[in-house]
Amino acid sequence: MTDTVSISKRTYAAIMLQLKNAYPYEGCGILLGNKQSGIVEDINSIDNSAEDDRKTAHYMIDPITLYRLEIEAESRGMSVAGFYHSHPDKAAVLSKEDKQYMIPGMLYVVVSTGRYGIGEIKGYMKDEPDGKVYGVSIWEV
Amino acid sequence: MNVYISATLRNFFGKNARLETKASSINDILSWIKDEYPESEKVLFDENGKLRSFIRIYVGDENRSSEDKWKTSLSEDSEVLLLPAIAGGAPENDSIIPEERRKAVAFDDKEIERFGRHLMLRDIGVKGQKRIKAARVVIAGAGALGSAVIQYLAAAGVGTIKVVDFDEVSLENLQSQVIHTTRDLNRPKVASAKDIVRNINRNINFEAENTKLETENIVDIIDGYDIVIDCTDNYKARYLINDAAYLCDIPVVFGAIYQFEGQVTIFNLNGGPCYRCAFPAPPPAGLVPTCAEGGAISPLPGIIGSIQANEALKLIIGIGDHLSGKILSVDSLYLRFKILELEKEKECPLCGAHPSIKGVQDFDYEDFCGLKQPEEEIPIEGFTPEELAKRIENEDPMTIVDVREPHERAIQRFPNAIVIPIGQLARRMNELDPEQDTIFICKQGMRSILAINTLREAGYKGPMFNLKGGIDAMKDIMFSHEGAWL
Repeated sequence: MTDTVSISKRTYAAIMLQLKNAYPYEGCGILLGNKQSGIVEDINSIDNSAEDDRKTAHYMIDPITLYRLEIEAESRGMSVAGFYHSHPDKAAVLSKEDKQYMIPGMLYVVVSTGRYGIGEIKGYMKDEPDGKVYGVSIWEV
Repeated sequence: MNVYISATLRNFFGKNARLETKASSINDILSWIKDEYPESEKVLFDENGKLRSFIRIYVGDENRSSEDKWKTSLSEDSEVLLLPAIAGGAPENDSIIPEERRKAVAFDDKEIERFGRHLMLRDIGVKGQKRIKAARVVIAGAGALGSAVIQYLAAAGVGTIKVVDFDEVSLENLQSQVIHTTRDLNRPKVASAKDIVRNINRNINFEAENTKLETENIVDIIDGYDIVIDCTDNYKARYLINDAAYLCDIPVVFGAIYQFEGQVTIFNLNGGPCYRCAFPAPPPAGLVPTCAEGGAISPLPGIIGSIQANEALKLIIGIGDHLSGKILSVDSLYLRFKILELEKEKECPLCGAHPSIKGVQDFDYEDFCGLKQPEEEIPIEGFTPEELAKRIENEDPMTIVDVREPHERAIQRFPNAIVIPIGQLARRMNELDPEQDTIFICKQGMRSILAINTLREAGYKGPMFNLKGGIDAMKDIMFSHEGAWL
């Protein structure tokens, strides 16, 4: 059966608002899960640190930024559940680069954005470093 | 020394956030980690032993990920951080046609004129039209759906079109298979497909495969092509096409019709779901009739086939939104168009996380689709049309049960048959005489097998026989007491 991940309604809305506003650039951020409930209940929206001329089709999160944010999240009983980013004017499918950078066990939410706002929203995961990527369905709770 | 493990990598380090080690350089730390946490090796290093592209090693806030910085010895109180680099990007070229093949294409003046109405569209233009000409497409099935797909892809300018079909044109095909005409009767379907493509554009490289899809030939037929359009009408061909296309990494534009309804979707595109994610197993043999048995309204395959051709062109050009991960469902009777979500299944035996099908040879398609007679079951006895005709002529005592639906009987009545639709059989089995032979008939001899199995399961003990090939096969039988039986 397909794996499922639950995201709180408030968090879900915050992600979509950020990515919609980021258009025509890619927006990105960190998904934080509540260690008790397993539900994604918060995000850290991140400034896309890719170079300006690459921002329309790339995103990058600085490792040291991630390091600081994950320590801060742990102090609140949260942990990094995965990452989200948008594909302006492109489908919500993983690119070669996306797959290459996937960390096993982390959730990747990809959102297609365009002139008319939010398009397709897809979740992906893989279990093993060289393993296959599979789809994860996302539930708003 | 203290080594910090990012929360994103901790599952490979026994969930530890911090490790204490006596090692004093990054090299020593990495080899110590390999010994202590063997699980972590595969997440840190690729198969060539190189640090994976998404792993970063920091000392304090200084990036020391490149190997030449690993020998330096570190002070006792420094903190080493093992972090992931989070990056990615939108797919650069949405087209399934590689750029070098597009660049190799040129147009002459005639082609500029012929494709003018594509060239003037901003989203297609010269780039898109070149991709169309560079494309190599396999169309499986030259029937009703294939008719629409073949004509539109040829007209749009697809450079290489391969059509696979084993069948010959028959009169009943002409109601919906619009590439075939009366003068094509009894010719191979691929021959009339070739004629139509030639008449549209002689520059198209047309390849005809007058053959049935099997495990032995499917990979050879589709390997090296950019896209497969599934216009077949049976489950075995669909699973074969899906599996081979997934293994050869080729997307499939799938279409299917039945009576007034149709479906279109895309499988195997960029890690999207496959046919097995959507339909893990076929229905029992005989339960769902094909169009040959169930019928379909004439323009419906034109609608569905045109959408398939449109989806294929969008994938080739690399524009718009498409039906990967979605099924378009069309009800032509009440004009309802719906789009349903289709998820990729983690447990899919073909494209899931732990696949069991690694080659088409691994899988018994005949058995899976119920085309084999199961050994443990009692085989079903049957009569050929000639044998049944003889029994009718001899006036042998027997009961003939017609399991067809009322509207089918209206086309052609079977004389002296009692009528029991399949759904009512078990309930009405006391109407049958177990002392007497009972012969079951339907249009093509498949539903009658289902009828016999249903009665067997319900405990009916009398002798039961199937009319092989159904009433269709009886058309040519002549009875001595009549000029013609029909």
